[in-house]
Amino acid sequence: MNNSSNTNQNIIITGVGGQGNVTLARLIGESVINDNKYITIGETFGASQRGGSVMSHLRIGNSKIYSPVIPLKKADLIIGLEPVETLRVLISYGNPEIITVSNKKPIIPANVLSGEAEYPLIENLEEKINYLSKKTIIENFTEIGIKDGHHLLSNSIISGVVSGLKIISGFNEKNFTATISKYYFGKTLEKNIAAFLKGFKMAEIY
Amino acid sequence: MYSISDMKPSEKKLMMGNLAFARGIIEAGASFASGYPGTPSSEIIEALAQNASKTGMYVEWSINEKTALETAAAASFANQRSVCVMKQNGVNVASDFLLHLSYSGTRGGLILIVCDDPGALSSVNEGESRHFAKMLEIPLLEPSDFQEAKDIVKQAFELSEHLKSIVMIRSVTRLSHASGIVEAKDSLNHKTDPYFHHSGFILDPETGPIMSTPVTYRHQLMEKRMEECQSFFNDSKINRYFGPEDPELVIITSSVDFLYSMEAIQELGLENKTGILKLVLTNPLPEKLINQFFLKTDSILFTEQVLPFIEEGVKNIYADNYNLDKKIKFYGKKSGHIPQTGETDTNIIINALSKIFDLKYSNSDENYDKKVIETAFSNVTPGREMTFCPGCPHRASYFHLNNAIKLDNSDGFICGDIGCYTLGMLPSGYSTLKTIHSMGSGTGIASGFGSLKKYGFNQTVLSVCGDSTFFHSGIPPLINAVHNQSSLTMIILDNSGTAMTGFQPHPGEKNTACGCEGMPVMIEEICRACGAKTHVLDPFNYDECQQKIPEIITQDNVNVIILKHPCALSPQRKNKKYYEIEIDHDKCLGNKCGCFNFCTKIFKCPALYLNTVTKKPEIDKTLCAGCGFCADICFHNAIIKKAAVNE
Repeated sequence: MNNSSNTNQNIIITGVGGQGNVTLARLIGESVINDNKYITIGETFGASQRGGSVMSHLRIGNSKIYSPVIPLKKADLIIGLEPVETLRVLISYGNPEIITVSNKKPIIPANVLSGEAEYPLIENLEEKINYLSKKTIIENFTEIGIKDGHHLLSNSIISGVVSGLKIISGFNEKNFTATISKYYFGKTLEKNIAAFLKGFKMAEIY
Repeated sequence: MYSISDMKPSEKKLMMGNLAFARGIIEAGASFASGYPGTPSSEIIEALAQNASKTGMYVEWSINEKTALETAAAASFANQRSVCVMKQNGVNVASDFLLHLSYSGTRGGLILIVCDDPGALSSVNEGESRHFAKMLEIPLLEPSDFQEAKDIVKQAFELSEHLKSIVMIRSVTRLSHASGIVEAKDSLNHKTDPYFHHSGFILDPETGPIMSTPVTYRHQLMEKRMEECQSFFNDSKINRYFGPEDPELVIITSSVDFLYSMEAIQELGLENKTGILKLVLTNPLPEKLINQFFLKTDSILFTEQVLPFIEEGVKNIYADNYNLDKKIKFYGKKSGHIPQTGETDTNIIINALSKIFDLKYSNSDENYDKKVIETAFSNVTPGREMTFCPGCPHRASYFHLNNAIKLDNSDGFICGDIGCYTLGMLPSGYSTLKTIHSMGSGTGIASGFGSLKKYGFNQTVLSVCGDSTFFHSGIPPLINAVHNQSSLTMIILDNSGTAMTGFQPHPGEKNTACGCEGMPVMIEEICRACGAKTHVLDPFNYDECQQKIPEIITQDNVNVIILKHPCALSPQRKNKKYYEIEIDHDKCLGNKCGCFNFCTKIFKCPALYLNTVTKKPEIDKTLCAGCGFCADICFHNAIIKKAAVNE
């Protein structure tokens, strides 16, 4: 991915229904709307809130974007809220230039609970995600969020990391704060902004 | 959250297709909107309801799609602009009235917005609503992007008023549930005082009574109407050609396939060889316009979602060109270039074009592809089927029902229908659902099974139906079963709202769509009045359910059990736990207990998983909704529930 002004960016946010996937896509999209002429979001709603795999396709750029659905192998950035889902999307949409930001915290599928399938070892998952990505940031963002007050702060930390990587034009602290202020107030808002800044700093190490 | 009614002219917003439709309805000055919830259509009526206090629009969630269309038609008869919204299945329900409405005609502009779900992303079918427009002879418009979704609404109202006919707009999931930039326009003030003129001459469209008779006379008017419809858009640019003057190939398309086709052409660099004819009016097809393309090109590719609707229509028009001394090569679903089932997308169209132009398209890197294949085959991506949410009352209900069926030992089964509880067919509902069809059909099918008892059929028959579904179409089959003395137990899974589509109110609720006070109609009283022995139980009351359900289902005649508990995601329960759940690791014997990890392996709540090292269960506190049901099913009381303190 590069920052040149007429390159459209293809971002996939993936995870499990109920993780805030659709909200995160909207949050990033609304944050960068003024810096970009064209934005589309394609949301796979079917399994949302019902524990299935969920993907949002976010396309941002200065030249006309047609389909709200990203073609196979064409993602520039994957934001994964669950590691198996991150890998699943990498397999279908990955390419040698792809950058991946992923949560490490597993959500166990029903067929693993029943013993029909096995959940891979986290180290193994991490290795495969690295193997298919040009650059990877993978952490247990949920654990960091819990330490800071709520597990769902993980999504704001991840937003901060993505912003810190400076790959989505216009996705900065100012725009993020302006957007999230429309949805949250008071302490919740403060915590989310702090989480974003924490993520932003984390990206510097990479 | 911004309000779509607050947008100023020329203001641009990132907007979901369904909100674009809603904004279009507001801009067109409609005064009446009705619908029945169903993914991917629900957000249109929801948005209109949220803005009703500002726009003054009357908005209702109706009991079902047929009634919704009837109420919207009444508003049209009283000279109001009105709109009715539903998903593809809804048109099947409304079609009986729609046929008669096509004959009788309308007065104030009346639009039916239907959201199809190609690929069945959130449906149990991928039914095509477009064929209803053809069969019932009504105009059909298919917008192709977010801006057009908004703008088409006003044109559809104008067309409806010009033709005095209902006009159908077809959307699809990838338009309704995707978002793009939409620019607002001024809102019209189209309000007139509602009045129904009915005393004029029987054939007077403005003042006479409104009915489908005299039939052949009205049918002739319908035929004329369809001819006129084509000329209505002659000067408009809604049906539009993009591409070179002498294309080798023309893609004829509509809806989101226009977007996919544009991207595919760009990706392959075929801009100089291939043009696109984007149709918005797809019934009747614009014949004059299409005829021009038989002269312009030798090859035509059709790209469209689900069935070859445009493809067949264009081929029909081609067959009528007796003087055309030219053979056109057609590509599409019939030729096998585009699949006839499932969703189409950019990749499918790229493949079709590559085949036609004999191109070797590749966007992949050989080395990377090897890595992908290696990873895909290394067994690290277990499948993830849908499951009931943590704290879902349906999981508890199916747990009881499965136990009762197993105890009864007559190879009993459950007939189901559409809702979150359809997941009863999957392991998370213990695979107890054995038939799944349309809304309310579980009880109709169960009524038939129950009537086979006179031939020695002795399997215990149950049906499940949600609370909203009960009102939608669950009452007639219940009455049918009672009257015909069938034998069945109807389970009403009452989770206090139309949960699957986002908690829209139904007639059992205290509020209407706009948050106004409504008269709640009690499910329990209806069932009793129908003559069914009716029981109300809480699925989270483990002991009572375990004791009573096995008794009830073996009783003859028609029983109803209402398993009542609000959805875990409902506003009254979301983020509020009943219990904090802990595992007592001293009491839990893990796989030495003899329960074979019953709580994780059998109950399968996503918040309760097996620690593969200790072989004992753990609670995932980020997921647990604190319903406490897992504590009730542990044989060793090793799962402890303590009353939760909510902020």
